[in-house]
Amino acid sequence: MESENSYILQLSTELLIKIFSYLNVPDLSRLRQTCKRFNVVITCWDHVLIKNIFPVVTNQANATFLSRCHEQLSTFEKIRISRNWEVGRYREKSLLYVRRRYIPWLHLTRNSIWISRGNHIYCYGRTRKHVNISRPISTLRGRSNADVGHFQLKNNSVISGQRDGSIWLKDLRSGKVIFDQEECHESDINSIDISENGKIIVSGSRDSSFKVWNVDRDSYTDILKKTYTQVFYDRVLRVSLSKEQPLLAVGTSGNDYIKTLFIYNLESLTNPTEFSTSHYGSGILDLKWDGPQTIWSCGYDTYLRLWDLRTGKPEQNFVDPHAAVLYCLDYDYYNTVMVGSQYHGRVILWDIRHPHPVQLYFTNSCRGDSNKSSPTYSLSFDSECLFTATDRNLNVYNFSVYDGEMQDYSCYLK
Amino acid sequence: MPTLGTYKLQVQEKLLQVARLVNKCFKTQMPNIKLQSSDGETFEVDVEIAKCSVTIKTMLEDLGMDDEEEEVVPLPNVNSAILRKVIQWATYHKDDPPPPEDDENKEKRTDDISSWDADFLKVDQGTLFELILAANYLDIKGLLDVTCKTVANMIKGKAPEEIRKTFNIKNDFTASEEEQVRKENEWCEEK
Repeated sequence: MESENSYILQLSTELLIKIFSYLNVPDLSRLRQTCKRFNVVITCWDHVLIKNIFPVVTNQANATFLSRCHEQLSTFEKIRISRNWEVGRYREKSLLYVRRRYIPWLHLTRNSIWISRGNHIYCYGRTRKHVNISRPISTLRGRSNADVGHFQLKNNSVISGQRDGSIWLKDLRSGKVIFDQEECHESDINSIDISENGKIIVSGSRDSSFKVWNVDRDSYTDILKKTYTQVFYDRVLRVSLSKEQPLLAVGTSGNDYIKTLFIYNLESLTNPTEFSTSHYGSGILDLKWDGPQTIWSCGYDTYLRLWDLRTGKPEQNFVDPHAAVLYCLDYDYYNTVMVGSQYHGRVILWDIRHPHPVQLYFTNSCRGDSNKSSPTYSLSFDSECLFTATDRNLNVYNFSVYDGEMQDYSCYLK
Repeated sequence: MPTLGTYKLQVQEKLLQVARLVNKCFKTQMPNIKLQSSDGETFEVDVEIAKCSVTIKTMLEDLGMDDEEEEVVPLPNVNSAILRKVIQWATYHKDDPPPPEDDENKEKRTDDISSWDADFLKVDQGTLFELILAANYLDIKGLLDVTCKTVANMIKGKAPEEIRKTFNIKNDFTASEEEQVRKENEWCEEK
């Protein structure tokens, strides 16, 4: 009789949870392997059993970030995948290869990845495990033959600034081109943004100016109305509108004027708050608003910085250990920032609670005759995958793998 | 300002309250209560000791069982052997401060079991798990905590096969399921 009875299996789920709550993650993990019931109970209740975990990338604490992730991860998976990011265990794949060199830009959503190549913007469908690269879901282009300088996808519309100074906007629901206007700037458009309500467009250009436009969708003729132009000494490299406040951030190249970051109030557009580091040439290549009062920047001075509008200073500074120019950044709106650097398609992962980077990722799988020295021009990530765009490749790094070679550089980063 | 009349009234009232209290103290000195186990055995226990069980405490309060009446509380979920152990535990711990509320964010310890409790729980597995069920039914937090900690300590640091052996658990995974679940948990064993 005794040998056939397992007393512990007669307990209710509630009591099992009470007992299991005294165990740590490795003990729970071994317990999961003993029998089906324990496996189910622990897997279903892992958010109750496991407290105080501080993963990178897999936090999913922010709704904006979660909206581009495929799955809300279980606590066990959060810990496991975070560990893969930390130790550099992933499977890398080149999704796309083009013979010509371009400066691409990426945008990631839950079901798609958008990439600009030349004068086209392509959209490919994706699932959790797979990107369907064989056929784009949609291919967009304007009238201009010039390359896309920068594009944004917001509220079901795509806005694009071209390298010949033209701007076009397409509504994705109706498939209609709202406008396609030439000669908006005298030179390359480096950056473009559109407000959440779709009524204000900002463009920044190599011609040392940024312009604010009003979109008037009722009118038939003068649909893109320029309302404001500001000319700087330097090229404008990045413009970014705040989601929460009527604020515009403008980043310049900082060659002739020491100030590189300007915050304008969209209502007045005069007397911007100016920010700078102490030396010339700290030009800004990418900007991302964190909250209503803070903004991330990276650029030529090899630093990733978090600026605080209230103090007028960078409150956090992270320097690239290899002293390379930092081209682009993406953020999980919680604790993880990833930055693309100048050489070898290198990506740096920072946990902003620590001064040193957590891990580096290099582009290894390149197709064709591409050399591996390209900058990472654009990147984006969800909890499980990192997407990077170099001059000829679009790569995906999958971190949800169980096995896979480890490329751990963390020992060099301390 | 209260008048002298109202002041007098207040004093009188206070005196009356004190008198009632003194009276009650004499009456309730060491009152006993009878608990009946599932197999019909009756145990006479100090009310204060019985009240460490929230279930019994609520029963007495809600049902208004009066101290004077010779009522028996039936406990159909607990047999006499286990009830004897529970009363033994509760008697030893009757002067303990109430156990602290669980703190969600604090890591739970299992190495803080007192030596008396450890000796008390040196019993066969059947008794240990029946104590858990009884502590849960009677809602005695201190006893439930310490019994669950004891079981947790029996799990800690053991490999899956050792856990199965300890608790007589049958491996009901198919070979492929076992392989899958092993793969999913492999990372935990890495240094």
